[in-house]
Amino acid sequence: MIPLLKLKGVSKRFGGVHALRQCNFSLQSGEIHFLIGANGCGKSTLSKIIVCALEKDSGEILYNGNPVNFSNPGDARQAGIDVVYQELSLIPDLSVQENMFLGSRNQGKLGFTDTKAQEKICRAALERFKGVVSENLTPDIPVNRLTADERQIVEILKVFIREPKVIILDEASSSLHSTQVEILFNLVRELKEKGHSVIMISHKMKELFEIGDRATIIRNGLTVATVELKESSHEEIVTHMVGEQYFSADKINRVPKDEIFLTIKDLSAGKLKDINLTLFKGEILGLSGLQGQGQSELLLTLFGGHPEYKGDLFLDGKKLNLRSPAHSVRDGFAYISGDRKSYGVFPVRSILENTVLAYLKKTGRKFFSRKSLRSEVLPILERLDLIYDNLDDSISQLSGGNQQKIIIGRWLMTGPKVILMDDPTKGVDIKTKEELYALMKELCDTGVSIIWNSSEDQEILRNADRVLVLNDGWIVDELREDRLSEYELYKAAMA
Amino acid sequence: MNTNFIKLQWLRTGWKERFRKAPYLLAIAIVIILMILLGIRNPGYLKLASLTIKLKSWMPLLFAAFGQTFVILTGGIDLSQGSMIALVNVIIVQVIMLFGGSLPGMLFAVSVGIIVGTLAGIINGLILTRLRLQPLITTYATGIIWRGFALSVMNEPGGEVPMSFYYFFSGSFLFIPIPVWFLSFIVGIYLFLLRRGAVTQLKAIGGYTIGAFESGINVDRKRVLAYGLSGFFTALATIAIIGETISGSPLAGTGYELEAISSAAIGGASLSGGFGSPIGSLFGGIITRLVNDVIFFYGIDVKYQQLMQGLIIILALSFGALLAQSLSRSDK
Ligand SMILES: Nc1ncnc2c1ncn2[C@@H]1O[C@H](COP(=O)(O)OP(=O)(O)OP(=O)(O)O)[C@@H](O)[C@H]1O
Ligand SMILES: [Mg+2]
Repeated sequence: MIPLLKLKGVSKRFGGVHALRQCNFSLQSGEIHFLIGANGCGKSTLSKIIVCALEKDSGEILYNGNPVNFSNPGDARQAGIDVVYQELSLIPDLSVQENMFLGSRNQGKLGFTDTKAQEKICRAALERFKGVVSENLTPDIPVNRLTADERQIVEILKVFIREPKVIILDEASSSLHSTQVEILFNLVRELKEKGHSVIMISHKMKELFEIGDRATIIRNGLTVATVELKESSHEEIVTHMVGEQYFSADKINRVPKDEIFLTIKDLSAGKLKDINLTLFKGEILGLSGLQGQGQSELLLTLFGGHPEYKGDLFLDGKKLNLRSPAHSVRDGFAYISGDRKSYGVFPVRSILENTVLAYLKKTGRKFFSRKSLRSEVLPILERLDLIYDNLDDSISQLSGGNQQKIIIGRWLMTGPKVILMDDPTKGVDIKTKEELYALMKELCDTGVSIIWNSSEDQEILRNADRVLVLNDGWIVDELREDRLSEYELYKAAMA
Repeated sequence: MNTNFIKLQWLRTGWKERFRKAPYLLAIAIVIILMILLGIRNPGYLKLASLTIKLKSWMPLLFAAFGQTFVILTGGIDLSQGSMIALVNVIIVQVIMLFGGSLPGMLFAVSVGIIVGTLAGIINGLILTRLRLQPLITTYATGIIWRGFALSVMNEPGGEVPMSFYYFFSGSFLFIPIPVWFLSFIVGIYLFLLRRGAVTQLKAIGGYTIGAFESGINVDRKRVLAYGLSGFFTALATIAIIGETISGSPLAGTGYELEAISSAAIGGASLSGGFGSPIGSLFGGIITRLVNDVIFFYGIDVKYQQLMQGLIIILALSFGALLAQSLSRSDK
């Protein structure tokens, strides 16, 4: 059987970076095919090359057995290939409906737009996610007023309403809650049943084995293997990914110091109700439960995002006044969000600028030489194992995971006392995740404390010293030592 | 939460929604205020006959601002507009004189003018997209070229156009003044483009170019379209100018591009692209002209006229900026 889509020896360079060397890949009709690999190995580049959002340097692409030469993503869409982009292709000022139908040709009679018909399709599509998104999400709301998960859903539906023959989902599930992911998977399965093919990119192994048929593993721009998922294992895939035998680290029980660092008394703000907690020096305190139960809000409040809060807070014996992020930074807080597009990255600006930002603010330095800044930045980036060409390159050229490392570096430079992490491993590959966990523990050993919200139950159970379970703005349970299990977590979260 | 509060909230968001959908509502409000100011001082100003004459004299700026907006929506700018007016102006006048001022000759001249303007716009767009140059510098440079061409076609102000050209624009057809027909025509073109989805695509390009490209829009072609439209409407503006001056000048249109751009901004367009409406620019253009009249009728010393004009423009712009800010604050 000839494959629906076949890539032969595709390569792509960005200046000095070899994003893809020799990519061979084939996609059958009606299969769900995963692309797996570390951050920056070239997955997004490959998907963009397929639809000609990027031009390839060499190699050949066959579609239905015929060589294709698209000249832009519009051509690929005509041919039935569409991408859900990792960085999203939505236009902030346009409405949901306008975004969904942007660039499509057959929208009405004689090339005129039929807004009524569009709205119908749009509503029907949104209906699929009813109950797991806010009431806010209607066809005429501008996209810039949506939350990250809602934007992702619009980007997904924008592609699904066209029912393309080949859909590429580039980390489409990374900013979705688990109930939303389920609906996405249903959509994917439906398409598969109709004989369409789906290429999925994800860093979550669970998803891979849940709905994948085959997986192609990419390492440093090279496709190293394609495996049948039924006959494969987690270990085999990770071994291909990192190129060596790989075992995930065992859980070590750390013993944080018995020294109270941060005390929160009767904190109420926004959704949060009567939060009481203590954080010990050198502790990793996890926040968990179903998504959106106030975890992010707690972190934001600590970072000065809710100046009208009620309650008393003490850090290191000193009473805090969380009036603004600037105050919180001065008090020794750092905030790392997984939604780096909204809260972290300054697109286009250089790696250097993106890294030193908070440090300059905190130290209040008005004059500095580039040279001295570079020498201060380099050790931090080295510690994070960042792969880059030049400090002056734009941060937008980096892969998603590497951008996240820069945000972490930005805050490490400020020498924080308490690091607030809001799902920091979103879109980060397994190996880098493990490195991040190790880094977190290393930091805690030097006396920093971390409050960590995570949407991945496994990672938080394995790596946090203590986990608080939130439900509707209340802390409903505290898990420690042998109660750190999925069973206990779900029991508390669902109660 | 008591019901009154909810109602208030609804009213407030209602207004904000309306402003978001029609960013030119503010401009309309300013137009009304200025009209009232003028009416108080000089009730005759608001008479239909007087307004028709005014409208005729505003037309060139309105058309120029209208055309400029398509470019601004894509995040671009057309600085060659003023010189384009000069080029189209001298070409039309020369062709009219070539045919001895006959009616078919005039029709032919006007068509040639429209084609030249549109082509000049398309050339702007092609240079920009093919050579990947910045709009600002490119249209600045092509503007110099258009002006040079204009000078080679007619090296000093002059030429003569039959008075019938002038009377045509002051006349009416089916009891409706010609300027109103013209305005309806350009609004019609806008509505046509809107229903074809072209306006949305231009906004998309200005809002997030990569996203527009990835959504399957042929970005380069659409940008050429925007500059072509700018050229087309600039040619219409020139025809209206000839209707006023009934002569040719290679110096015509000097400074028009900046007036058009500022009118678009007053009308709610964002100069960084992605937001605004050509309809708003029409009102922005009216404001620009009304401000002069307010200054005149309130007898402000000539010495301070320019100063006042600048201040009022800043005021109008900052209103828009404040509004945009409060809109985006409600987003958070
Ligand atoms: N526009 C660009 N300019 C320069 N370099 C780029 C550009 N886009 C990607 N790269 C580089 O190409 C490499 C591959 O990037 P790509 O985005 O494909 O990675 P990825 O596998 O999708 O990673 P992630 O899992 O983090 O999303 C990276 O080293 C990145 O820095
Ligand atoms: Mg990627």
